Amino acid sequence: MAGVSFSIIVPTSGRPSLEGTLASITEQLEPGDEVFVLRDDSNDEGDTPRNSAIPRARGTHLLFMDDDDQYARGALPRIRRFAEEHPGRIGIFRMRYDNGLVLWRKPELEFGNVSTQLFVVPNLPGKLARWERRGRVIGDYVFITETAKLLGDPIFRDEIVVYARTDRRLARRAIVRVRKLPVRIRYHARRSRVRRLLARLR
Amino acid sequence: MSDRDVTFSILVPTSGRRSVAATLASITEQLEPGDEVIVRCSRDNDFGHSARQSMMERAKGTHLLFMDDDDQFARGAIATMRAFARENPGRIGIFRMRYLDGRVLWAEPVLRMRNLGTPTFCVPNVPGKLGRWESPAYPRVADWEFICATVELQGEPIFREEVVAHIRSDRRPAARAVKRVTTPLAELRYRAAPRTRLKRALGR
Repeated sequence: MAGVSFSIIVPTSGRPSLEGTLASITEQLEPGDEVFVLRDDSNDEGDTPRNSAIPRARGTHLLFMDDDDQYARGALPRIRRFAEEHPGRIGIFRMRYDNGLVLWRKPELEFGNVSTQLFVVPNLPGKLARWERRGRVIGDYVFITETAKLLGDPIFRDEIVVYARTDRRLARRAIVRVRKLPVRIRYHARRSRVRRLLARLR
Repeated sequence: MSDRDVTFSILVPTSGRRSVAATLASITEQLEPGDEVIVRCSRDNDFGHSARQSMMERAKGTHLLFMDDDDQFARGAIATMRAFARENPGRIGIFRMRYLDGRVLWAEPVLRMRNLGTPTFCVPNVPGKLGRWESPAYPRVADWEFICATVELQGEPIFREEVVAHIRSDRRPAARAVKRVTTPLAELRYRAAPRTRLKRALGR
């Protein structure tokens, strides 16, 4: 067995997209890896189930996934190679949304610039912070900044390992993009309406 | 324990087979708040028993269910088992499962080797009152060892008629019909393969 094994923690609110999420994980599993799927309705963006699963994880590294996102093909082997090359270090990879936005934008620990799905964290009990919301700052940012204080600065990596709210398969991704077009148009229309309103006030 | 407190930990060892995606789909479409699924990948060639043992020690649900990576829960199975767990707190339930060829286990409602299957157990998760998934001499019967030891600690099981799992099969009737055709074909191909190879070697 290789030295690196993953515990992948997936809280879910019961969305049907979970099926695709799990398929994107299971096709890349290696012996020793494990997946925790936790159905939860505490409405805290998955903080409670993540805190419940972390002490039970036996993998050498922790990954966190949301139930409407998918791992890119070849993502886990890529993360595994990173973990082997940088033992004990936190890695932060990149992800692409269905509208083309890519996070992280710049390789810095900033609120809104990093996200749950991007973290690969060595599973060292006692050196892991908790997932908890602090005011407007949501759990993922609190967790990663506090854990970085204990484990050292993260290494930012360029590889895109996650597709957020879309699909890992190229053809499906194209379909999602077309299907969601009306939503995007509506969203931008609303924003321009706000802008128009502000202009009138001014 | 109130009625709402029944939560399941569903343990799925996998060797990395592709069928595990459909297995998980059959589970996730039936989950309720508080339930959890733990998947562990292992290629120890022990039928997933060491993985099951490792997951069982960490399960938090009030009841344990076990699933194999090429089987699927029937539609509504988890709700059926939840209703059972609520009506019979602290009791072990043993349900039934159906193979692709139509065979159903349990055949008779008794604890007997080869009469039971892993996906049919619904076991209250009482730490210290669970058997171990271990059978050093005969790894194939570790599920039997587990259920016997657990029954000794928790009391006689209740046998239920409902079919909760489809073995090497599919929960959807149409997909099951397709599988009934493709599986014998795949088996034929599998059987013919070594012979062709042998023939080729002899020809050489």
